[in-house]
Amino acid sequence: MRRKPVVPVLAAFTAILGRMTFWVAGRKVPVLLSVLLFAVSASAADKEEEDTAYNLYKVRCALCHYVERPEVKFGPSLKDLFKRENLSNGKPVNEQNVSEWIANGSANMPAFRYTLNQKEIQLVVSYVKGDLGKPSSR
Amino acid sequence: MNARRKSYGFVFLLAWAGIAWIGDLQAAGPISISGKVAGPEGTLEGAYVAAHAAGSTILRYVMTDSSGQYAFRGLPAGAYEVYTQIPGFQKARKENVAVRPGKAPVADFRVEVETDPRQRVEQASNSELLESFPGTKAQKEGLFSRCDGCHGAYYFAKSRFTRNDWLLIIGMMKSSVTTPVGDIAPPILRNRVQASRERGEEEYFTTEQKGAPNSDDGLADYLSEIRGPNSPEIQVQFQPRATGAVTRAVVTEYLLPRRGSTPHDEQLDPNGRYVWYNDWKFNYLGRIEKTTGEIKEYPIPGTDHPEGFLSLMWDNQGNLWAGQLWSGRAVRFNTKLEKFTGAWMVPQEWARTGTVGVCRTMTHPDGPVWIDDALTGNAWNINPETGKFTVREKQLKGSRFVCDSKGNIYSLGRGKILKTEPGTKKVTVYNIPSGPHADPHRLTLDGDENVWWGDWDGAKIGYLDTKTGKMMEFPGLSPWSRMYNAVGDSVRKVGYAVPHVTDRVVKADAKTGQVTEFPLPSRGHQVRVLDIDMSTNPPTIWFVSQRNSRIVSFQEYTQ
Repeated sequence: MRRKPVVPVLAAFTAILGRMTFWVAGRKVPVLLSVLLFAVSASAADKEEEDTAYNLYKVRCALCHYVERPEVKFGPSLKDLFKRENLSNGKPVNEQNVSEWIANGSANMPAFRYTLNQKEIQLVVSYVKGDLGKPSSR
Repeated sequence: MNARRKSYGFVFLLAWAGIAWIGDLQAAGPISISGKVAGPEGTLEGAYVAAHAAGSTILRYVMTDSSGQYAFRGLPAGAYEVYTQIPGFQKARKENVAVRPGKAPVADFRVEVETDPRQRVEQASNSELLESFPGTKAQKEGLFSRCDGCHGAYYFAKSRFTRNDWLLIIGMMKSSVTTPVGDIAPPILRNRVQASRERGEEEYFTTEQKGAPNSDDGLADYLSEIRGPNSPEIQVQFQPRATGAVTRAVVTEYLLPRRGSTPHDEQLDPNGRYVWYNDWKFNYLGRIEKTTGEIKEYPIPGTDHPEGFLSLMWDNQGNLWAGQLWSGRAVRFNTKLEKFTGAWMVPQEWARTGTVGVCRTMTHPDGPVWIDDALTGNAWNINPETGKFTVREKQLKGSRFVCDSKGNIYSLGRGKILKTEPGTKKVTVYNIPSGPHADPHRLTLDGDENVWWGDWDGAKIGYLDTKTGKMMEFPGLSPWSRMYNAVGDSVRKVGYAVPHVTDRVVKADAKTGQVTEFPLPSRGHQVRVLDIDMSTNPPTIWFVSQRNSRIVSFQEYTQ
């Protein structure tokens, strides 16, 4: 059986990319290094976003809601919220409806639209959904 | 030996002692990075500059002197990010400032005034925020008395709600059953728990007076006025920056890497190498190597109740003892083996046992380990060998006592310090000079076994000379402060406190009565227990920055 030339192709690709350069901040930077730098800075930005999401949840939501336990605190648990079908107002659970609930509040929950901007509400939703920023525990 | 040789020998001894002493002062090392900080109107004195090496857990700060110059000394070689952190000014930063042996780079900064009111709120201390809030003194006092015990004014300054929503939030916060930080175990209802005062505890905030500014409605009125949907932004006025000797301090922050770290207590290891800490919200104990910043954390088994610790005390066998809050247990950790070695659960279905105290000699006749439940005020002695719990009188509260080398126990009460002798249990009462409303919160013993304490409501450092019974109190200088604890330097007769969210180090000289406050670079610390390292010259003060997930040290310098 003829072997697929994966390794030689990858080697050639790397060699070609290694000789290519970008201009970054007024300096020539090899493509591979650029990719690496981009990956590192993207990773740092992700971490910052995760930290922000976690801290927003901790300050704005954790007083009243558990997200890791099923019990009621002051408000219902948010554990597995996005696995449920409906919110308690009957609307389907999705990012838009959860965002609106956070923004507008309810009889037992303050409205956060004067305190949090749209991006911050989106980060909180992402945190509750499990996409961002869980505490680093065992 | 003739007289000349003797005098030469004496001079040599003096010189050696002097060099050794100067060596201590010079131990900070040669200059690593230096520079000047200037704003639009010239150089800035008392401006903090930070240096952080990539990947390090250590963040160091120094302040500029009267010519706007700063200097970091003794930094390990590496590439540093250096930036300014000055209330009222935008951050300026330089990256990849390379420190190498024999090379001390210069990093000068030109900073611009910060005009964004929301950024200025981020830069303000609690004192500065409350002073800057519009409103009457009575309104601010209402806020301070009902809310500031748990968190600073930062949360109000960063929030906007309608009046109804402020009232909703106040209602939720005040219904928390213990320290009201949202730490509620599900089956516990408020009406099953005694009020703090009934069970002999101090309260973190005063009770509301109906119709008064500190009533629920009074607070909601005030907050909706200054932090409603359309309220103008807070215009922050900053305190003057430090000058002169107050700029001569080094602050080191250790950045705890685990997201969510909420340290409550720290304790220095007697071996001088480490500082240990617990976590208020998670079942971890942690250890920091002071020199390298290496941080190691130890997961501690718990129960299925919410996690976290409060209190951290040494015995004389290298064990740390901590109160495992909702697990209702006293936990022992062997620091030499780096191993959890036991937990003793109080004989009560639900308990919040944050206050564990240890008589370090482990030979107190009543049992060496003491533990309280914050829900009911029940208290026990524990014999770890037999596992026996002995109910004891509620007068002596867990972490609100210290045990001296003779087994005398010093504890706190409203307006007084109590000494209880072992065996006879004879009690001596020391009445605090400022009167029955004095609010001692936590206490420590210095190297001469004199007592230092923090007055929570009164924002004072307190001192009791246990040989003479003489007592002194030293009020802090910044308004809107609360002092959780104080530590003492027995050699210089100086006490230190770091008020809860005031972002200052307070130093009180018991010989002269002088009080000095040093600003800290970070904001909203939420400081609890302090420790003092007497092996450094001058001593180093250690404390947590709970809100920022850091352990902090502060040291003056004279170089």
